[in-house]
Amino acid sequence: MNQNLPPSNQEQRNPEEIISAFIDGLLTDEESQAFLKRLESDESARELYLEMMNTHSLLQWEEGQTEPLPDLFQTPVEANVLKPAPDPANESARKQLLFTRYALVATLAACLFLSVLLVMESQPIQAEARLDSGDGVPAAMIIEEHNAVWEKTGWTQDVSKPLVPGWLKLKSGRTLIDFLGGTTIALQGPAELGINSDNRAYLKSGRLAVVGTSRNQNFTLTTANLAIVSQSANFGLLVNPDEETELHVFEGSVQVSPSKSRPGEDIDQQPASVEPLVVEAGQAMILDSQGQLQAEQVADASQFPARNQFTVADPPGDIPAIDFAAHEVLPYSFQDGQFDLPTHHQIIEQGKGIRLWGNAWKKVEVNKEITPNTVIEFDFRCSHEGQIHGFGFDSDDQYGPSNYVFQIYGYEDRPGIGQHFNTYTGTGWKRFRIRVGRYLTGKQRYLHFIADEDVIARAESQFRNVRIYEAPTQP
Amino acid sequence: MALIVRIFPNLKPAETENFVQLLTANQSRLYAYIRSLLPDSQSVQDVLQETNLVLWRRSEEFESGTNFVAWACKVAYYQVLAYYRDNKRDSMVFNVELVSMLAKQNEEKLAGSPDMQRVLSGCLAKLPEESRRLIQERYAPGGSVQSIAEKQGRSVGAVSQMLYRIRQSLQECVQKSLAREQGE
Repeated sequence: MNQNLPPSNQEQRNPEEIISAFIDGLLTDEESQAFLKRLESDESARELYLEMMNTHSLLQWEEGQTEPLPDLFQTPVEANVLKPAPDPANESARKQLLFTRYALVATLAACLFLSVLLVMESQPIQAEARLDSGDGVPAAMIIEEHNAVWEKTGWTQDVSKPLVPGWLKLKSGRTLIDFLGGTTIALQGPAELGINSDNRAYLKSGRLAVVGTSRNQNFTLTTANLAIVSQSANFGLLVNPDEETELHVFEGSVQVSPSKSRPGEDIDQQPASVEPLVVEAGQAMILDSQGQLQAEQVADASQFPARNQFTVADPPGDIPAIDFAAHEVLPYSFQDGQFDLPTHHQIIEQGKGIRLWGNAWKKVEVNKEITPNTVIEFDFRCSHEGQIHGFGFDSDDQYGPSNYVFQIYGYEDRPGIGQHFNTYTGTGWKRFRIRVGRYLTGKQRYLHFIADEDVIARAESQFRNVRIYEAPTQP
Repeated sequence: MALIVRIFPNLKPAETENFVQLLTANQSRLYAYIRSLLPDSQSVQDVLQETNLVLWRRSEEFESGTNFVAWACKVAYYQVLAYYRDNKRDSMVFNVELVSMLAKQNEEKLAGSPDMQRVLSGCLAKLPEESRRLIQERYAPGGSVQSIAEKQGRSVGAVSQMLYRIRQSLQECVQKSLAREQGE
């Protein structure tokens, strides 16, 4: 690669020449190391590097190496004509124009895409038609069941696995389902539920309640005659065999629109869309099979399954909490104090708790076999929100994409970090009891706790009364 | 416009328009900023896109009348750090301390300079035809010193030297033009 290069002795090459070769990837490893050392110690070298690198970057931008911008506007004939060397000034103006056009087209495309999304979110939805288990992408998972009896048919899916878009038929009992978009619903049998995606479902019949919601994503629930869009609302929905619908809102508010189409009907025959109706907390409405309002009532939560009916049972007997004072608290993987940011911890409450702050990921050795019924319970509080607050297990000290992290608070919503329990509201202690075995199993050596803030290292997390146990069987 | 207002829920329409203009007008500077911190990476465009997303999400944090480039560079800096975080330090050309120092210096440089892209375009126009062609070949998609050397039947070292001289010439032209503009 470096044959026929100019003299490699840096003493004989001026700094500009070295930087130019660095930019072109023509320095040997030895030259690169010497160059980097110089950059670290010499401000004027950095200044020169930045000047040349900025010019290099702007040339890349100028000459279109960064984006395939112009092709969008070239006809095939134009593209095949060998053009004379253009005047750079005109060329620059042309590229700026093209970029502006490109940006405009991209913006319009984004607007169109968002329009479609908004229409889908706010207007009636043809839910059934969207059910498609063909792609196999998990959209939800069952996290609790109580006497649940499922009907397995050719068109329902296997409930023992992560749920993909498709149908569920619950004959009796009740179950708690986490949608990966962050919404949790309690479904009570008999019921037929279609899972459209990680933030969308279709209730064909039966009774359910939305008992946990994402702060970041809307959740859309449709029936044969209604489309209900919710953000951070808890509500109950009943569809009886006559397709009469009852909607009871317990917290927050939802937007209700008539469904655009009913299964099997022609979309074009449906009435024009109307302004969504906002149903507030405490209100209930009953609609007939045509989506016409029949009655308004006071919301009645007792008619619907509630989250506390699914609460994982108390620990069997007296399960001791982790005594942090008896454990060595160690940095976890590369995450702890990453980017040389501060990381601290402190044992609190006579060893029953731990406080982390800065950009801290701390682990303790627990050596637990996680089974599908393993539960972790703890209290959490936070005085300063960072990017990610939570915990996770690991069999070694190597954090990676395969390590499941449970986020319980924090402003960042990163792919790969579980959001189902991101429910802390920022005040006081809150108890979490999570059946972690639904998300990961196997021998886990470490339990780690997180107060992550890569920006200015000011996250703070407190955990106490941390217990890990096997959930007793519930009736 | 109603749609855009929904994307920027806390901005008034005029502010939204202004923000979009600033974001669009400063793409090349942001690209240069990120490229300077990730000199050897193929992911500069990805980091730029992520930066744009964060800027859009945090648009309400930008105070109109303050230096947009300085603010955007700070956001981009953390996206670069996030990139290094996700791709492990092993892949870093620069260490964290050097990234930090370069980020600070380049933020000041880019935020304080006039439209360098325009100045550079003017300087490119002044280059001799052969030099312009060489720059175009080097910076065309897929262009490299090696490919030019092969095509022209010259040594890599010779092409590298030519590029170095052209860059030097451009550098001087840009600096003179900027000094002239600032003196006006």
